[in-house]
Amino acid sequence: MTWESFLEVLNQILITQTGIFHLTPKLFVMWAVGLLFIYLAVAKKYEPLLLLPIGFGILAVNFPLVPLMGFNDDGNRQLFQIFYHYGVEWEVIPCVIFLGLGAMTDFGPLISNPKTMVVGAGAQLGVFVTFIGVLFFGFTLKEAASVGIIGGADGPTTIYLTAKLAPHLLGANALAAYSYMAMVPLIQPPIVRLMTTKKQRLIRMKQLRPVSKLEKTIFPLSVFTIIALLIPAVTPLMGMFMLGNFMRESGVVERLSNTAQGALMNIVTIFLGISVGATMHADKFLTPKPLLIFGFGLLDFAICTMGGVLTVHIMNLFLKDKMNPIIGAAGVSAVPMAARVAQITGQQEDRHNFLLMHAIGPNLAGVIGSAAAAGMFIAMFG
Amino acid sequence: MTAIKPSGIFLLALFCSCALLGSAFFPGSASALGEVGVYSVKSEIPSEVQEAAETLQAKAELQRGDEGFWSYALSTLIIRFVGIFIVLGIIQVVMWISGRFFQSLEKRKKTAEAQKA
Repeated sequence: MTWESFLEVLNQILITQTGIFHLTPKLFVMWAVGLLFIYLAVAKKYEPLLLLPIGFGILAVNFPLVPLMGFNDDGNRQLFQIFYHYGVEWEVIPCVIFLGLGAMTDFGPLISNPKTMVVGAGAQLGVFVTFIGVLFFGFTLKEAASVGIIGGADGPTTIYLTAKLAPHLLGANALAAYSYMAMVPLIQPPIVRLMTTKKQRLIRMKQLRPVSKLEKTIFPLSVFTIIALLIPAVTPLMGMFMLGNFMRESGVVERLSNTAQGALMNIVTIFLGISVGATMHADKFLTPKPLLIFGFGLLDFAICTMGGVLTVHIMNLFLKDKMNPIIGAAGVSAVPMAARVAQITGQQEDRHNFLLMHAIGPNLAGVIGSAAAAGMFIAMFG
Repeated sequence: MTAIKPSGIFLLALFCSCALLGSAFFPGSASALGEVGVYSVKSEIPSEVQEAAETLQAKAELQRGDEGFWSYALSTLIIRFVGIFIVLGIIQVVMWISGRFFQSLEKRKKTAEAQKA
């Protein structure tokens, strides 16, 4: 064996079997993006359950030659591709997450104050404004719908809709949705203060009536029936949501309910995070569209918050018992973060004004509203 | 009864105003709905042909940029947004009715218990 032939073999190995010579500036940019989200999750604790696996997914797929998000020589899917294909493309994970969310949710505050349901609808304003806005920037109708839903502040719904209508935007949309959900405490209070007077923020609402067990048990069944009849396109999401809640409220399948809101939810969250992060390869992500998505996502969130507050203002024109417009901001879904923000904003004006339970109502209505918006988009373009 | 009336009126007023606005500004909504009818038939076409047609259609939509496209997009927006109010409004009414029913049931129970006592 000559020295030259040894070097040639070494060269071959370095080029074909290691990633060092395949590094490009684009990959370094994606490493920075991945590390940024890992930093936000670990150091700032912004939605760590999702942003941590997403950040790692971004980082992992942006190494050259890694067998993660493609196909093997024999045509089989690689690891992350399997998670993505069977979890997200097959629409399994968002629906299972909704099952867990349903099992975690107490609809009592919404049932005892049904008026807040309309606030959840008003808070979808941004979804539709953004839908039109992004059309001006060369997005197709399907892409526009998937970007619009970011303002609904509902991660699984965003992922479900985007996977159906514009899968190539999945990473950017999911990331924008979860990032802005984490930033609700920064985004919403200034908008609320801008849109309300001090007097309005001081409004105290009547205490909510207690809701019976039977009423809570019937609620998921009746909502499911209405949704399935009116927006069948969103039945997979809402069906699982209401099943989870029915399991919780019926009280006879505590083990299933506990699993849905605990272990099962945690397992699918891991796969969801990795799958979403893994879609963000440099070649797909480093284009103008993701930047536009982040810009419009913020605008979307702001308009949705305004829509919720505005809806309460309009409702107050007709109501005898006025509602505190701060709770309108909780109409974007982001459960329970948006409701907590409403509580804190209210207490900054009056320490003895407890808005949390009142804000949970529009907050939950927002979940149903954003799913309804997604269902309508799917019915139209899906 | 007082709780449902104002929000009911609010919903109705909102729906009517949106519907009027929609019909006044976007007369193309009828043709847009016609297009939806066409979409529902296309599932019988082979998928490759369907995909190619969709791409062409999307390109044409973008290139056109004419009134038809925008009236379609805007009418979609209004119909869908009002649709959410209607769906959530219906759920609200159902919740209100069932709430009333359960409250009266509770009252009856309490009265019966008081009478027994």
